[in-house]
Amino acid sequence: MTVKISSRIVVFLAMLFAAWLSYALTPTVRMAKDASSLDLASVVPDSFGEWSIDPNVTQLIIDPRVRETIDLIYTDTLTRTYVDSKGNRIMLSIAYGADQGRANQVHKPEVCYPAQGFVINDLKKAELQLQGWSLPVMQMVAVQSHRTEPVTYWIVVGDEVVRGSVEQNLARLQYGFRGLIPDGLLFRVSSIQNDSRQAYELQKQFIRDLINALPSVARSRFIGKHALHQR
Amino acid sequence: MQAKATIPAVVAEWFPALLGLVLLFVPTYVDLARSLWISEDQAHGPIILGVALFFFWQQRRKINELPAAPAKAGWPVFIFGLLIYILGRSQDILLFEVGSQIPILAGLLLIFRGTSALKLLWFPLFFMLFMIPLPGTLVDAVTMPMKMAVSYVAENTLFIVGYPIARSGVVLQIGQYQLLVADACAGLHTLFTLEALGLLYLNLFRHESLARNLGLAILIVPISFTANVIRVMVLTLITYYFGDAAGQGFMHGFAGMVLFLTALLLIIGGDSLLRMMVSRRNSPIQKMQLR
Repeated sequence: MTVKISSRIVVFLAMLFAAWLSYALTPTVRMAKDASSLDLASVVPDSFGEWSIDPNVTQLIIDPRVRETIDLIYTDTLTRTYVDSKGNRIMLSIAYGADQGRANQVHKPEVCYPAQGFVINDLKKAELQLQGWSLPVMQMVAVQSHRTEPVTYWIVVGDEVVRGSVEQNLARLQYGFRGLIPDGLLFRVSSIQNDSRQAYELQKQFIRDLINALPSVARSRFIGKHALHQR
Repeated sequence: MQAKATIPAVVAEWFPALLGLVLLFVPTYVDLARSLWISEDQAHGPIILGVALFFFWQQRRKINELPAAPAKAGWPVFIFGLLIYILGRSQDILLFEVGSQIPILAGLLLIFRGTSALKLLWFPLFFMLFMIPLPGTLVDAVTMPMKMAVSYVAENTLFIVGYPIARSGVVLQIGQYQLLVADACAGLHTLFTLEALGLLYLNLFRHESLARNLGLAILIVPISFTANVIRVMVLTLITYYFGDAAGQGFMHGFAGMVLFLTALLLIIGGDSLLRMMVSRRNSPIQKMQLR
């Protein structure tokens, strides 16, 4: 005894339809703005407010193997150390990726730091109050032997600031359902300081000064469109 | 009705479903072969698939000879599978895309033959669970504590036997060398590969006792942990005695083999122990049955 012919046909058509639908629903349009307009090194000023690039810190030479991975995931990266008049140092790292598909998603610092041997303490969501509007960020303290490095960071996917991998993936899906492949940006600021409250305050000032100094196009890229509207 | 099915009849019955499966999953496998299956973590994927397909192939005659008694659950399970396939494939969620194989196949078996077919093929369907890549969020959440635990135990064991070793987080310092315990050493993927191998071993040797099956499946967790601790210690000692180059070079592969050998020995040892315990408990019943 065999199964009804109608069942066989319906089963086949259902699978054919599913194959076609998943093909049709796959996002193909990249949100990435034309790359020329976001050259990180030229958009981020060498000096702003009280801050300027620390002349005593030479550009680090990155392990070529690490460099390879970075180039694979990100379209453009920027790493700089700034110093203010009082000698406070802040490390800034920005990474932009044009394709935020699953494989190339911006890496979260709470994952990268431990991979380099750091221990992460006090990972939490926070809101930076910056002149009448607030910026959602993540904060954590990375520790390795005697080095204590509080970190403030956020990730922009498309036009949204996302916190944590759940939000990051949900944002990817929200764009995906509309057929869009979002771009993404990691904005990370850190300093080597034992007192994390002082460090976060310093980092907040730095972020405020930097965002104020940015041209408006770059600003909306760095902090998402919606954070800007709350201004 | 019981007449032997002719080859054309068999083809006519199963061909539409098989063609549908090819349309759905061959693109998936092609993509996986280019990405996930190349990575060290998920290299076991194609092996799992091959083993599952082998089990299906082995049972093909038995399945075909079963009477068609479609189960009501068939269609909902099948449609559910297709929906998560569409979501997973279009939005690049591997958990859903790869995972959808199980409900789609189970649904098809239920529609074509009924629950008896599912009973016949439960093992390969279950085995396919190990093909599904874990969500990154979960991997990230579990890897770090596992790495810490492995480093902690490795450090303390070597310290007790008198080696000059210290640890800060997941960085081990032995003599003048510093070693970073990498993600792979956490053993999450080793754990899953070993679970898959262990289950296959149990299935091939047809152990009927549920206690023994379950016992071994649970035992594999500490076994995998121990094996990873041993691997980290072996690597640490290689680096200590033969230098950095040896620890990172061919000896690294050697330590991986040590890992699997240790695990295998522990699994066989644990299984023998379980067998002794189970058979001792069951022996009075068996004697009664013999009479």
